[in-house]
Amino acid sequence: MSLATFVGQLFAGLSLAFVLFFTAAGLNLVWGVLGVMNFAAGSVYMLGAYLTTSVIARLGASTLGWTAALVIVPLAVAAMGAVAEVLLLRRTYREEDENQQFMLTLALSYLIAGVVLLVFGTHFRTVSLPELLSGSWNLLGATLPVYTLVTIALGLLVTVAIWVGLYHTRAGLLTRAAVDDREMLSVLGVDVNRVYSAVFAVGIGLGALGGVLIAPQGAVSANLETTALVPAFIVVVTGGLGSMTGALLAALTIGIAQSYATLQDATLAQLTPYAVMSVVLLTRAIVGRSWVIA
Amino acid sequence: MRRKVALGFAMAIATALALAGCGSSSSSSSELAPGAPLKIGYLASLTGFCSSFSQEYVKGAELAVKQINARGGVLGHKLQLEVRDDKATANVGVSQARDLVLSGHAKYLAGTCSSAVGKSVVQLVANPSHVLYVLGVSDPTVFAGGPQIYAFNTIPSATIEGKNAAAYIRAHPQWKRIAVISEDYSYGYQVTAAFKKAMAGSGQTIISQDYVPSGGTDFSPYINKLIAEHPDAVYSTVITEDTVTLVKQGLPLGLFEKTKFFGIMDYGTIDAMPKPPVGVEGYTFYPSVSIYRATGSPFARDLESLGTTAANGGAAGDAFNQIQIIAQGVEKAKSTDPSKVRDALDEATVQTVQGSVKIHKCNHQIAMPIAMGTIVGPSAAQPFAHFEPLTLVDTNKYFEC
Repeated sequence: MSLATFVGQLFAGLSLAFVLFFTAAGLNLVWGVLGVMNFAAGSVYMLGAYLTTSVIARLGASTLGWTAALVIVPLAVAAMGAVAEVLLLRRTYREEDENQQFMLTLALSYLIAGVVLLVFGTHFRTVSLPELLSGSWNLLGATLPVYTLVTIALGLLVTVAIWVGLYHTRAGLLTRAAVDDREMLSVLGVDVNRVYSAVFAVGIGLGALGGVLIAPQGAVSANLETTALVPAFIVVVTGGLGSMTGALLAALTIGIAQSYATLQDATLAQLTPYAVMSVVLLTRAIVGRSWVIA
Repeated sequence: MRRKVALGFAMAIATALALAGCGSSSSSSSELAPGAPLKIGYLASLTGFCSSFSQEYVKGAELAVKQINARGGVLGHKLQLEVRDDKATANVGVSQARDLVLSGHAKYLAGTCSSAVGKSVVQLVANPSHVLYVLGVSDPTVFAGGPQIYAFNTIPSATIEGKNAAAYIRAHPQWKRIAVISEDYSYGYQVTAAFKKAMAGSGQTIISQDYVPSGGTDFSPYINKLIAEHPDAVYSTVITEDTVTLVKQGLPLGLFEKTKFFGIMDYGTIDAMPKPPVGVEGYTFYPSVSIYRATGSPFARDLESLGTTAANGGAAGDAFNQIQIIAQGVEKAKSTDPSKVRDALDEATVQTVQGSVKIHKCNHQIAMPIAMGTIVGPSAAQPFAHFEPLTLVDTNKYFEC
């Protein structure tokens, strides 16, 4: 393998990893705090991509249009997530019925998919990248698309933001406290419902951000729903349910391993996420749960 | 005990006789009553993997029905279209087809974009049949039953597509190392297999064959791999929205500058690309309006009334052809009996969007031409990316009947 190919695959893998991480981080956050496995995550990702095409179509394929989509779409979808949490999910916590929560998020995913179909139609949509982001740079002989570098940079930025938010802010402190002991938090006078709504909104917004980033890279269609959900679940399970660091490491491992595996056998490379998950789960079964990264 | 066995035999014989009776009764009623509508069940994959262009199929089928009915129908029967969503899934398609035939009393079926649906429904209407099915799918095994089956194919099969691609590559013997990139489902594998078979003995080497996941969002690792292999030419059977993703991600990586790229490029797909890959050699067998408007085809002019862009309309044209072929078959047979219509269509020449084309009896394939050319940007005459110069390849030469 030449150095150029090595570098090219590394960056392709990193880009893949961070897009995976956004959806997985959203899933993890919601699972960790609310104890809800959000089956609507794939639909949210798809919704983010569709809304991006609308914003860019309206504002133009300029840096302004793309930046606006990057900010507006995750916020708008997060707001919808907060409304869904208040109106629907909140009613299920007391009963602690996981089946009910599962069915509810599944119903939400169908609802989102149906609305997307009604509003945007069945034909795929495409948007251009702004000129500033559509070129490529050369590094050690490898051609690196500017957009790949931007995706990686944004990935790093969001990862740092999540870490700072969780471990160095009052909101993060309350979120972690809600994971540990909801009742105690409530006794201390914290509005736990508000914490839950905020966490669900952030989780949904992160999922939508993944959709925003992939929209200008390809065709936006209803197929996105399924292409996002399964890999995100694999990342969450591999990293350990509720573990943000684990999810990041799992996403990076899967993304980079899949990228390099493509060089050997592009078809078998599609099995990389499953292979990584199997190895991790087997190791965890042998070594024990304490192996999970917190 | 003996009595029970005897009773069982008697019942079995009675049932068999009853079924035989039903069969003969049904056979005698295969002809429609005078003035009765000729029902066509249309399987459209409105949801599922090809939902992005399935609305086009419905538009084309509806247009054909409208036009045929406007001139009085066929043999005094007005066409009646009933559209069902097969979800591009075999069991749903079979269930819908069965319902259309048994409850809806449809004698004719058309449509689906899915070879899996097509294969299952063709088996459902297998001989002895009172239903005729016209569809456009790539899988040649759907029509493996040969002249006995009650189904006709309106698009070139994967075998013909692969042979045509091989003929193009063989015409460039200076390209010694060929890489293939395809879709990771049966269509991709079948075209690749046919291509490889047709390339045998050419002196050109197929250095790799890779399959991208259908609906995938990141093809960069695949593109990097292609470039790293330094092929003289790349043959692509990546289709529809995946073509958009491949082209969008391939442009900044220099895929089209570093390799000689050749592959399926439907007009509707390149029209949807913000930056089409100008200079790439493409082909399509879907009858987009712009290709066939230039040939003076009246069908192409009619397709423009669908509200699609002139660059588009390929899937609509395919569905339009399917309905037209059923209607022309009925007229040629002077009968609404699907068995007679099938016989009348064997070796017949039918009028389609692509002009007069021959139906080959051996495999019930309609020899639709393949449009090929170099992708160029929009021009005054054609304000969208298109092929120039455009060549219509006669596919009859690829048939082995």
